[in-house]
Amino acid sequence: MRTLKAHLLKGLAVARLEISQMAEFKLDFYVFWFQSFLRGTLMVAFWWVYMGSQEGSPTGELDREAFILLFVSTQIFLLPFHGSEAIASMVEAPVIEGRMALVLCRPIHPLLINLSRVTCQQCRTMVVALILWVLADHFLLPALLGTAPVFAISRLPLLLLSMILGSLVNNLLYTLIGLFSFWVGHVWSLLYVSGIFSGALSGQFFPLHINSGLEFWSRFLPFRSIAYSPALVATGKAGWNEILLQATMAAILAFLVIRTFNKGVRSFESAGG
Amino acid sequence: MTRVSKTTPPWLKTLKLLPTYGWLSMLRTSEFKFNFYSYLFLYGSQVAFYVFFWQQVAPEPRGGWSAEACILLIGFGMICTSLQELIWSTGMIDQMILSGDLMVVLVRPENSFFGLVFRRFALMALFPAFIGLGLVVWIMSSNDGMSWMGLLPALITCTLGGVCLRCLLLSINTLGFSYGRVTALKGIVFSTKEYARYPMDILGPWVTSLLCTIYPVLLSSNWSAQMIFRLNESEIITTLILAFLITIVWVVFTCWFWTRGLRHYEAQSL
Repeated sequence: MRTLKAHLLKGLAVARLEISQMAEFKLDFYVFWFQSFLRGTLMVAFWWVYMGSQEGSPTGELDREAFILLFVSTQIFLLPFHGSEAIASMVEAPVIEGRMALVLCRPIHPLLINLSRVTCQQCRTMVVALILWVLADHFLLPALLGTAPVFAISRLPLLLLSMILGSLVNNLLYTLIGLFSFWVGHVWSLLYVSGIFSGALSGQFFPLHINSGLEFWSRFLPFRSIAYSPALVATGKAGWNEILLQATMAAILAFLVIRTFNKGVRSFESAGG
Repeated sequence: MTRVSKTTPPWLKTLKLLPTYGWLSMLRTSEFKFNFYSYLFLYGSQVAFYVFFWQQVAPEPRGGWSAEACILLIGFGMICTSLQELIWSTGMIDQMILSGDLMVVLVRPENSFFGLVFRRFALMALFPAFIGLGLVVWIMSSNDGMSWMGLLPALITCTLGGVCLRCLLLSINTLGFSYGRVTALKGIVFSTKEYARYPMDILGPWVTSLLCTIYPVLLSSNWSAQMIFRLNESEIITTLILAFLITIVWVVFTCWFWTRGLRHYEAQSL
């Protein structure tokens, strides 16, 4: 218990440092928001116009309203996870450059440093994403689709839990990819491969419900849990079953990360220091 | 070693250095084989996903774009991305400015601009371009009504789109001389890979104008695909001329901006 408390305190100290670093590069900080919103806004505008170009025609198994609702929700819940590839690079760099020996000497677990820094960055965006989604649900989507708001305050604890689990799955997944650098060196191509799978199976490129087969098989991969599960919970299309799926994925990934890290460190060799 | 005399103009020096850069890039690729094979797998899986996706989303044409026309976007998007990755080092200059590593390039007897651009010349990035080209040819040969005459102008436009996007990326990196880290701004350019996969030209004249000039996304795939399935001869020529003009403006602006930014650079010796 005492060890856990010590680790948490160290994690908080790293988070404080991260906030001070954010203030150092102000242009980057402000543009981060602009960049995130530009992408989402452009894609939502595209799908809105594209779907409207042929009225009444459903897309796969979704009609236009359901497509836009799920797409907008997923884009908003994906906001905290833009640039998550950096997590893998944070693990990869010390391994390739031989600095892992130095990192291991520190009185804090190397993966905990990375996870604390990244979670700190994600927390601020998660709060904004939640507010944005509530605003979109109450103003933007009813104006666009002519439908009533779908969010109920009683579903907020479930949604928060789903978002936290989504963040955990995302961070553990990219940490796991980064850990492969112990055996293969650079992992950027692996990141690109996972980026395509992630884009297609996390609901980022299109809602998974456009095809029932795709939706079913996506349950066995972690990508869906990152932002599509929170979107389903927020829109009331799923409940505890989705949370259970996310928790299972997080547990499997945590197990794999710890095992892979221990194996990787055993196989790691570096000279000098 | 490539031999260059002192009287050789800088651009010719750079051209003579290209085979050496290419050879070095092949050596680097052979060092991390797993990386290279997974890179090829990436593009294969990308093609499979998007063929499936557009067949699901657009079983019948929407906004003038059929599923086959949308699959053309994937092919041209891959070609454009490959050409950009061929000279991918332009993505890291802001970090070099921050760490002071830019000095390493500046003290070399070659043009600093080209030295940076070709420093991490990645010859192997051309493989996905061949996959993309294969996809385009496959779609064209399996569908009637697509113009083979438009293929060459389409490839030229796609290449110009890649040049424009790299110019945009280099201009953003140049901001690093004044503002330090510009990672988020670079994210705007990197997300163009995604936009290239969709028929963004349906977004109305104002957004379309923005997407082909200040944020030159449409050149990379939308204009190229349209040259094959939609445009007639005179429209192809007009579009090509417009693409050249946009590229010239971007190249001139980037060179000017880079030279201006470089004057602000200060670093201690290594």
